[in-house]
Amino acid sequence: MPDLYTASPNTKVEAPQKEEEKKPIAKVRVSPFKKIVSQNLSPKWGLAVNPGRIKFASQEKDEEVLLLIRRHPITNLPWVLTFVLMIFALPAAFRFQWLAPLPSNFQMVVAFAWLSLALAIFWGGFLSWFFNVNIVSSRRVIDIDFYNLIYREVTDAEVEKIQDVTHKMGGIFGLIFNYGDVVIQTAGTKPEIEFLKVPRPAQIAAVLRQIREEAEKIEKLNGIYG
Amino acid sequence: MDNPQNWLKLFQDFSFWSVWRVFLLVYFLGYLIFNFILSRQITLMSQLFETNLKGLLKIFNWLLFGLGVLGFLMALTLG
Repeated sequence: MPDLYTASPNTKVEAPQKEEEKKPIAKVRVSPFKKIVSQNLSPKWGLAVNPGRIKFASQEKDEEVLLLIRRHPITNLPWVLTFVLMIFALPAAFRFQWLAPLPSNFQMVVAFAWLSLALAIFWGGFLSWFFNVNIVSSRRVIDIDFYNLIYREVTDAEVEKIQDVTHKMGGIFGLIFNYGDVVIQTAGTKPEIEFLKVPRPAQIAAVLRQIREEAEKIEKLNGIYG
Repeated sequence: MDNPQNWLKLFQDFSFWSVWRVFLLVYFLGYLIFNFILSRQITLMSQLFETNLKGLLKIFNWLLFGLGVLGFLMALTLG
């Protein structure tokens, strides 16, 4: 059979464009959880919203960290004040000769011991604040407690297992600086997870409720279509 | 030390400042143990949740440890 049409060798045959390529769709889809968090909370000292770089040990591949919460920085005031007073006491001790009753060779060592004690208070207080972390991810709520610098307790519960979220606020400082406790009742083995002295407890509690509702919706959809 | 006179000599040498010296030695030893525990905790906690401050925390902790060693040596050389 003779050829009806022969394409010249220079003619490029364009492949039909796929439907997806034609549409100007956003390349990265913002997850519903991230959207909830960024709409309701803004970053603050002690509260990181959608911290992309934060990772934790048991994190799964598709799990994203939504919130990283620490105690409100103002709760560090007691040890910060103690540290500052102890540091200022040192030059005062030499100026007003408070160490005079001690033998001269002891004066220096006692001053050194005092300085190291002040630094130990500072360091202990800072690490205690830094490592007491609450993480809210797209799958779980994690509470990492760092007791007395020696003991630690890690509790986590799946978002779907959250039953009730309450928040408590009280005290003069709590009301002035807007911090308090968020108590999460779960259906897990440990019935309660507590975020203590965290900034904006009401907003965090509201966000947790919304995340739970969203997770329930997704679970239902997975049940229908999965 | 079995001889009772040796014990007596020990009590004669015993002074208020020697107690202070022992106290300072024990204090700095405790401080060093505290810093060592913190160093382990920093490592373990950094494994639990990754932080880019780990190196800085470790360096500062070892500086404090060095301060403790210096204090211990100072207490040791007290006459």
